[in-house]
Amino acid sequence: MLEVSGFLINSSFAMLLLPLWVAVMIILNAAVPFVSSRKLTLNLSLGVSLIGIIFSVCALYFCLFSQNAAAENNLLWLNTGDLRVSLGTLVDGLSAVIMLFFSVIFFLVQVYSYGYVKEEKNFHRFFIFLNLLNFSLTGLILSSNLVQTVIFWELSGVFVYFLINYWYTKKSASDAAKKTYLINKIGDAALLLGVIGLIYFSVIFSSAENMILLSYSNLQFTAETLYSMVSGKTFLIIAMLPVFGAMTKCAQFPFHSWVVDATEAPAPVNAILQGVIPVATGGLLLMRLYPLFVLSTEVLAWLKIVGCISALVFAYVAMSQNNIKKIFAYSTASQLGLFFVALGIGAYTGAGYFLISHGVLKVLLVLTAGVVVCSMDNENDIKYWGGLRQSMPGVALIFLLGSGALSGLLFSGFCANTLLLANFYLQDNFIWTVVILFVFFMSAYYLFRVYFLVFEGEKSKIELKKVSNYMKCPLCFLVVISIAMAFCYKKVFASLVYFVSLEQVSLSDGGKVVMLFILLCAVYITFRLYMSPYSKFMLIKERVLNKENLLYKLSYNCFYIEEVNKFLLDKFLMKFCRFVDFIDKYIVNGVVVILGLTTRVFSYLVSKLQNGNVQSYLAYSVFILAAIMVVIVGIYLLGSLVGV
Amino acid sequence: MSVIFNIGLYHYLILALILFCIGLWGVIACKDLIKVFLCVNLMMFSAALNYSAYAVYVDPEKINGVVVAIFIIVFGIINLVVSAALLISVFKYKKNLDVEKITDIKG
Repeated sequence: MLEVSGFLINSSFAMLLLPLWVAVMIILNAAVPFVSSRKLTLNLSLGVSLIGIIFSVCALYFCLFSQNAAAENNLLWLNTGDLRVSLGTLVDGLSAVIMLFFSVIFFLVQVYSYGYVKEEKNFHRFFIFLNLLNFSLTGLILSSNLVQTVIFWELSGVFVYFLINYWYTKKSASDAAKKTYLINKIGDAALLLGVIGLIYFSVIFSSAENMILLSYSNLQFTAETLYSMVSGKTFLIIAMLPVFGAMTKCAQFPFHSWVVDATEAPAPVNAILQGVIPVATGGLLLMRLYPLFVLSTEVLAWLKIVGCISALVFAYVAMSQNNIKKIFAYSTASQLGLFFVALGIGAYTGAGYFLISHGVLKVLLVLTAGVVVCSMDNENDIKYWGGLRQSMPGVALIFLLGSGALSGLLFSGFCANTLLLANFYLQDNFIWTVVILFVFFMSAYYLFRVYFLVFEGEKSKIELKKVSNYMKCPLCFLVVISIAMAFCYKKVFASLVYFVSLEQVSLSDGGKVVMLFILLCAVYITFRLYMSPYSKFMLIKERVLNKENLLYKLSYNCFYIEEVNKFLLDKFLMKFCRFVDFIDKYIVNGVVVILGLTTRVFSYLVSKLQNGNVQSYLAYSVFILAAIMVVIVGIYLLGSLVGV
Repeated sequence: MSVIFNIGLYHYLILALILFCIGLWGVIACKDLIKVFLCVNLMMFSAALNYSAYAVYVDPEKINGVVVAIFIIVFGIINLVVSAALLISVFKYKKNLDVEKITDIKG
């Protein structure tokens, strides 16, 4: 065990810097003409991901067989008096699991990306930014303290911006990138404020000399000290701010619109945004800071409220969308809402498992959708699709398995959903159980609606393009991962990721039957609505799924949230901005202009003196000399008058 | 009346002051460079007058003041010679000796 621990400690920094090195190599590869090869770029990127997988398997092995010990390695980075900031790596159960998830998914996404951007002119740029994102997310996952997390959090935001902006000539993509960056900045600022608060109080109250600032392994102690030292309101504010950071990254209720707009990005980027980013940034942060949140019931309630609103609203919105990418974006927001709720009721392990399972399945679905969109010549509207099962049966099967798993019928999705239900059931909270079942119902509805509209029914007239195998192979692996995850919950996951003590929750068989029944009901209703014209269902379809119906309109336009936002922005924020602009233009700038003008006028007047006429110079000097003499004589006379 | 006709130190001093002021005025106001240099000499000689007046009235035993006055006269002659040479070269270069037109050191 010691060897493995030593290996982890020694190699973790190398693991962190390897993607950065590969990015530099790819830049060199792209810069050298004639020699630059696309295969080399791909192999370098895949190699670094493979090393990541090996590293995280070792980490997992280590954590499993050493009773969840942590391998930590810290370097003192900033040392100014009381403030001592370290950079380092921490390999414990949570980071090992998320690192494994991240490196495997990233490997597959890179294979897929090769097929996706093979023909593009800016091929190398895509892989450079993928590797830089890999670097920042590895740093984020392995970070040993909160300060380092903030640094890598900001870095990942920048690279996400560049990845969304890959097709920067496309107006919508560039707008979406800007929007993503700006909305995420709100959360970043909140997180930064929270961390500054935590640093402030932990520096004030720290008793131990050699403790690492805001280290995750000591976070429970830090949080409890803080809780006993500061007032309730201060603690609430400090604990609440990081939640806002996580809310933006996880696309929760007021901050969801970036994930919807970012669907303009290439499909692999989209998969990373919806599957990997929420797990590795927001989700990881919430799980790391859980000791802090547990102490405040208000924070937990806030998690529950935000999660509940997101889960219900976005599941409802996803039911009526026609753009396949938007459906998955709303679905992401909704499912991550369930993760928030689960954390809010204290189901730490269940929430973590649900998060990772959702990550895998969402990547699978988005990538599958990407394959379909590619073969349909970038047509996103599922209304124009149909009957694709005959031409691409493999993809149809994978999509069916994926939507079945994500809605909770199969594989890891079933496992995750039963876990969530069991936790809610355990809490004896009837309303929450109903809410979550309702969300499951809606998820099954919109996922199977996509399946039926895209792969079944009448064949569409659009001619299909051939899709490279690089894009199809990762999909099969993702399905296998999802199946494998279903088997390793109890043995691996639950013994690695837990808060304070092991959670042993399982749903009774009756509960499972009820859940499956509800999900199958949803599938049946979808099937009836979209596949077979059956008189009663057709009547419902005409009544409810009608452009004029208020419920339908609300869902289709996402409760007019965007419009309300826009209205508020125009009414209040823009006015304020204009006011600030006015101040800047005429008052701040005016002062500067006046200062400059004064100098110029004065120098103009003074320059008149320098007219080159010797006599005038002499006259000035004589005048000044005379003045000086008058003053001196005056002082002398005054002195003699007074009698000094 | 006795103040006017009993010639004393103050008379010489006031005469020297008047001469100096005339010279200064001439240096500042004259347009012609030759006049300017003549006025410079006038100022120098007024100073020499000042020195010799003090030498005669304040300290008749020693001749320090008179020596300085002689020096000033010698330097005045040198000054005239040098300035005449300068004026000739300026006139060759500029074709006139009007002070208002020689403004090459303008900033």
